[in-house]
Amino acid sequence: MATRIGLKRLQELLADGAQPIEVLPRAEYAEEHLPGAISLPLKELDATTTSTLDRTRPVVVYCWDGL
Amino acid sequence: MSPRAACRLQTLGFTRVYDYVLGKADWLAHGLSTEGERAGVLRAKDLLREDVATARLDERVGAVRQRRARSPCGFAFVLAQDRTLLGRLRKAALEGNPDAAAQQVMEPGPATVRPDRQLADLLERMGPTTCSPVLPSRRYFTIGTSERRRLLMLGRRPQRTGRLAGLFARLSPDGARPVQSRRMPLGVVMRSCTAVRPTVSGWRRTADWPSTDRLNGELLELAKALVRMRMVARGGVELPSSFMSADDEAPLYRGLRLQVARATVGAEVKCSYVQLSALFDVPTAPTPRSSLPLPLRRLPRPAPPSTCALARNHALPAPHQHSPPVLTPHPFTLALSHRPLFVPSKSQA
Repeated sequence: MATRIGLKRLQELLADGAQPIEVLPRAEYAEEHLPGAISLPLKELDATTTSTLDRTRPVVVYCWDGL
Repeated sequence: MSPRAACRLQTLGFTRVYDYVLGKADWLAHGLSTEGERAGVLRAKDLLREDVATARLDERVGAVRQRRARSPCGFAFVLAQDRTLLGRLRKAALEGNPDAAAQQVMEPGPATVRPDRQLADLLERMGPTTCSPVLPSRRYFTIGTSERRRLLMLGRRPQRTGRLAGLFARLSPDGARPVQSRRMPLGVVMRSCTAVRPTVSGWRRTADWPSTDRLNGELLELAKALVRMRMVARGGVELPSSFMSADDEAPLYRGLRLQVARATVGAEVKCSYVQLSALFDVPTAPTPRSSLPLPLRRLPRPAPPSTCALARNHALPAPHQHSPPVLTPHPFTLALSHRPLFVPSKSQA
């Protein structure tokens, strides 16, 4: 199970080079997203779409409110 | 959604996966910066004030009254020890029994607004009431207490420092210092003409308003109309020379002014814009930056309009010429014109 984090830990991870990933639909990403976030909608998550991610760096996923 | 995405990433071989469970809603609620199409939209957090008087629950009203007098707001917030907002002391309460405790005369549970709430939506919802948003971090701020302030929230200083700062800063008259009048844009709003024209044609001229109260009401309606059209204040409106020809500027009055222009190609109207500006009496001596009530921030560079490129509007003064404005108590007047500032030339028509 992935580690659940809050805002403070998120900011620490981002400062350390973590990759923020928004898993909401692309339209919502285009509207507004966290600085530097990558759009990878949940429905498109597979080996191909994630191949661009750096596996040596932490990955932080987020949606609207975790539901 | 994010827990499933995190799980899926782990099944794909990612080992260092974190789930920011509170998500974008939490990020926005803390008033943090974002990217994207709506990132530059004015929000409640852009009106953040931290100079509101506060009081403890057991504090005497008389002591709070003195602090309130030094605050630009006519009320004080009552906070718990951990700075949770518990109530508001309105002016009437503050002028009452000076020995009463704040918790005895406070209005409990004032309405709050999340800092990421778009200003446009907020203005629609507020109506004639005062609003007191609170940040999750228990900082507090307030949004204007009068119709005039709410209208001014639509605009901003055409200065790279001080988003909304100047307009919000000096609402009390200052007759002691020499002043001079300067026209300052409150905001330039633009949208494709199909949305603007019906509203513009419905606006009336100054002579149609018999009283200041009526005028204030009309201005509020105007502000709401702009908001309904989801117009966002922008600076530096430009019209390409190929789009413009004749100039028919509305007469200049002391007070607020609207300018309406249409950019056309041949007979087809491509883009309209509305500029809302006001004549302020501003002090001739520069006001110290430290006295500005809002944090000075660099404005994001506005994106060019999608429908066409526009030429610089002559009415916008140079940024370095401005000092924070002082509104004098004389009643506003409003000049409106639904005539187009620019009409197609014969060669374009």
